[in-house]
Amino acid sequence: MMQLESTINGRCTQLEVNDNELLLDVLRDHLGLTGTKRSCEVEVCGACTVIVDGLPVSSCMLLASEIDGAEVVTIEGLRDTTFYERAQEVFTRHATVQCGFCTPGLLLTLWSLTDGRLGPLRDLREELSGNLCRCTGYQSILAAAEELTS
Amino acid sequence: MEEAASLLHRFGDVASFYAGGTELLLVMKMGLTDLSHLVDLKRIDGLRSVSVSNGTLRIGGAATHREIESNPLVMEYAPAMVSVASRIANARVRAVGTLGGNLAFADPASDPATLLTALGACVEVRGTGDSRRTLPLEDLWVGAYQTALDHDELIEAVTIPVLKPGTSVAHERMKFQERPAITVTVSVTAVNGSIVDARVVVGAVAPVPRRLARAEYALVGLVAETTEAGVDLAGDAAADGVQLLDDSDEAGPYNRQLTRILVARTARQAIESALLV
Ligand SMILES: Cc1cc2nc3c(=O)[nH]c(=O)nc-3n(C[C@H](O)[C@H](O)[C@H](O)COP(=O)(O)OP(=O)(O)OC[C@H]3O[C@@H](n4cnc5c(N)ncnc54)[C@H](O)[C@@H]3O)c2cc1C
Ligand code: FES
Ligand code: FES
Repeated sequence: MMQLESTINGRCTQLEVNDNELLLDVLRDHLGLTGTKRSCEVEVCGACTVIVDGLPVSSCMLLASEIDGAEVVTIEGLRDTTFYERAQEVFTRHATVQCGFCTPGLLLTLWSLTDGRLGPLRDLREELSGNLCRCTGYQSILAAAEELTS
Repeated sequence: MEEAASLLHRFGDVASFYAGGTELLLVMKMGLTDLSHLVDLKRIDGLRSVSVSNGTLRIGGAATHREIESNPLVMEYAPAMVSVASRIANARVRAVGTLGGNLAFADPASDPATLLTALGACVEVRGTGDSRRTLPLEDLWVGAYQTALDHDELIEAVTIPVLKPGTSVAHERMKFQERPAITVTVSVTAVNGSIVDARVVVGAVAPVPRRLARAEYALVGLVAETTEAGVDLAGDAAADGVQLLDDSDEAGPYNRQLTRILVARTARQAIESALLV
């Protein structure tokens, strides 16, 4: 067992986790943050994306112990932001959501790319290539993404 | 570093170095290894830093792909490394995966291993006590998933020598899934409008990225007018010379064709930019 302290969605949070526990399980099962989705579990699909210290990571392949002292943002943490408000409007207009399983990961990845958080944006397609969507096809995603990051 | 090495020495087979965990946790999840101790290298001071001395770029073994692609010194001294790092895997793997982890895991589907072989890079290795050694990248991998490192040796840094004047580097890959099916780096040096030196390295289809001497030979002496024919010859020579990981009746001819096309394409790109300047 390990004790950790980290800021999750702006709130200082103390946790007790097993050494081998993954962040995805902690978020979903201990903290009830089920907006973080479980799918491929091999870092390919992006459904489990969360932001740790500003960078998108796969929570399915990150030991929970890694977030000690870190700042974590899940989709629930975006709820009251102006980004989220805009994203809702843009995603709706471009019909970017069908089943919605990929949407939290996609939104968090896009959020990390806005406002120069990761420096100048080099290649939007490359940045989003790790977020798979089985429903919509990628044109509507790219159209919405371009609008949101421009 | 010394402490990390001695921990590995002490715990033996049930311990492993651990950086981003993008490969290690995957093999643990698949039940391919049974480890009880992970020795985290990321938090060791200096193991993520990037510096330059005497024109040689030195990248710490625990630097992540994301740190490498956004580092101004890497941009200045080894721009090819920036463009390669920025296309590895996906944004999430780049955020945590490290250069040292990529090289130490020795997955043939590695972009940096192919590029760094062409650039003549070396790895600085640390072991227990005062043990240190430097290996050319060509000697680091001895086979697919096998390195020349001892169990308790870690990659402290990768050093990349300065490019000779007139040198251009191109790196190309094809991928059908997340990891590349083939990686090719071509580095050429031009003097007075003619290619005087060439390096051609092919990886991922091969167990270990290797220079292909006959393909290199086909590029030396080329000038603008002979480039088209020359790069095709280099492609043929590479397809002939490459030692394939899968040379079965089904996959072999396909992998050779992939090699032919991609070597020609990458060589054309490198030569065109070398002859431009
Ligand atoms: C979905 C996916 C797609 C990928 N696509 C690509 C791609 O397109 N191109 C490409 O090149 N790579 C690709 N990779 C591989 C990726 O680059 C590596 O997973 C990553 O760099 C490994 O680094 P790590 O720090 O996570 O290693 P870890 O998983 O922490 O460690 C891997 C191994 O190296 C050892 N190790 C780690 N650091 C050191 C060190 N400094 N010294 C000695 N031993 C060490 C560990 O003991 C372990 O055995 C992909 C990986 C994934 C998961
Ligand atoms: S569930 Fe983590 S990337 Fe697919
Ligand atoms: S909307 Fe269903 S996976 Fe993207």
